[in-house]
Amino acid sequence: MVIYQIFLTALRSLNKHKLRSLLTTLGIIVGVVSIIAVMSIGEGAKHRVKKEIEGLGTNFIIVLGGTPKRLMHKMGSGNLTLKGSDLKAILEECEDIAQASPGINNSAKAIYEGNIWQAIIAGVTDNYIDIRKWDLIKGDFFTEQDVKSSKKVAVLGITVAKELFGKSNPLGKTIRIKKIPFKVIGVLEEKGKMPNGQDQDDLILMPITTMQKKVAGIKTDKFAAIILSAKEKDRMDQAASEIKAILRQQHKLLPKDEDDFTIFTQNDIAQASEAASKVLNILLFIIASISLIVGGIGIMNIMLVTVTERTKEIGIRMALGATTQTILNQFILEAIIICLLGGLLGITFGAIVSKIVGFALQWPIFVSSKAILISLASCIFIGLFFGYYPARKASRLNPVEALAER
Amino acid sequence: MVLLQTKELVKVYQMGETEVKALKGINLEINKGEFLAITGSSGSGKSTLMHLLGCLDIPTSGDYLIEDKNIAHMTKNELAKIRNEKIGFVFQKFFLLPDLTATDNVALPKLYAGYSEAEARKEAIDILEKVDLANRCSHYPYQLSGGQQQRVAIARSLINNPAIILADEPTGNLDSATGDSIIDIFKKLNTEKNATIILVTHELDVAKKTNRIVELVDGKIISDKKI
Repeated sequence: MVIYQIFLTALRSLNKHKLRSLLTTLGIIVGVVSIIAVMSIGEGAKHRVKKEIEGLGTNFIIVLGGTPKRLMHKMGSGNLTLKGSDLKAILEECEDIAQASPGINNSAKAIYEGNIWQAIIAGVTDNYIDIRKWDLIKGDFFTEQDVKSSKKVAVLGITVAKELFGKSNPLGKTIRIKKIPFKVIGVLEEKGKMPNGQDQDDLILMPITTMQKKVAGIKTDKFAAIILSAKEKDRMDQAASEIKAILRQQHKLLPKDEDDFTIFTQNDIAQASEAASKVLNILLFIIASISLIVGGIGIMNIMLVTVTERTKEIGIRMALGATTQTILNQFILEAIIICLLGGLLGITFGAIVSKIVGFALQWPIFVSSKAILISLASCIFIGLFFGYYPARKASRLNPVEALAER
Repeated sequence: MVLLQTKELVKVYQMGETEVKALKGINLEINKGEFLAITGSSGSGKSTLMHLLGCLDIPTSGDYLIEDKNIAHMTKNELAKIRNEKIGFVFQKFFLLPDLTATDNVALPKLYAGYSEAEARKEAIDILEKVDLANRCSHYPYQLSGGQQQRVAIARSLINNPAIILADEPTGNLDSATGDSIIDIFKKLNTEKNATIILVTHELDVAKKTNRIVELVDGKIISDKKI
């Protein structure tokens, strides 16, 4: 039997019962839409997270004051348990480290004329911008000299700049943070939102010394974080364990003592976000599987009805010499064709849904050929699996009885 | 030359608890080139006999030989092959597939025989020409009159050059004039091509147009006479 004739027969049979066919394929459509959406959005998210993690800096390592448990959910704002001597020891003893900057994070209101904006303020050193691989769109970053002299200068994230200054140029203007005047010397380029929704542009950077002495009011040289970049990507984990050893020594921890600091490397962060997206993917994969199975049962149901409706046709075909195998093939193929049509609709809707979600979340969306192939393969499998029983039933009909059917 | 031969052919149907003996030992020989009618009232067993002769079913006991091949113990797929190669069916209600054009309907047995679409269609069109339907090739059954549909069915029965054409009440759904024209086609096939044709009918008028009448009553042949 020629495939295209079977195809035509299947299409005509579908055409005759349009609503029924649509309802039948609905399960398949929903299943394929979920596969496509899951994979496209997942791929987009992966891409975005990858970019964000790369955007953290070059071979980025961060050391935060405080035990890992305490810091689980407050990345970026550690306890003030790190000291200048710690930083010095790391730079002297650990050969894998290229650059390091101490850091203190806080949240404070910034005021310019009538505008007030609550932002994250961070004190860092002049090399911070290199470690993070950030660029400025306006002005300059503060210098080593500014840090030494605790100069009251600030570099603004784009969100802060917009909120305080609107469209006017902030360079050279004076903002107030905790009643202290700061001269704006630069504006950072836009970096967008983190996967957790945190706006990376809602930020004011200033020299760490200014932060310590004037804003936080800390007398001694203490800070909450050390932000470092390793010399080579492959040496990042090595560097992290060296830093761990150095800090344990510096803090005079006994072997039984827990670390009083926490180290994250770029790798750790990448792995954590991968694990999170894996859980989400498994969940969505289960949804897709369930709808495909439900869809398959629908297909089986409708094929059983079709076989009953077309008993006479089957009888005629048998009288003309169709073997059981021919009839079996025909009905399995019809089931596969119905599934594939559902699949094609599903792929179309899935792509549209993905694009809409991507637009809403401002994520890049990739409808990959892999997703399409997986969808089509699932449809073929569903058609084969759930079409088999009805097709077998058709092929086992007795020709005399089939022909006698009204 | 003997083409078909049945020996003590018996068919028993199980209807719940009771057994119904539809055929009670049929002995029949049909030679190549014969044009015969099998007649009998409803319930006489003529349909059952037709099913057996058409290899749509197997006998409960007895033998049935087509060209010396015994089909009594064949499998379903062997029967399908015999039907495809040796037997051309013409049914009372035409039994064309509604979704296929006249050409595709006629071509179907040839496709089942393993020929390519192109070969099968070419031959189908040739045969449709012979039954004067050259201009109806791409019509669907619902676009054709009863007589035209039956001629498509005859064309379909001929495409694989079968040993036997089995026509089950071929005029039953047609008016008498159209019915006559169908019988004329069979007659012509018989005289010109030496085709072996078995007509199953309850109409004596139709039966009389053949060369031999076999009459069944209660699952037995009660008369077998040449005209």
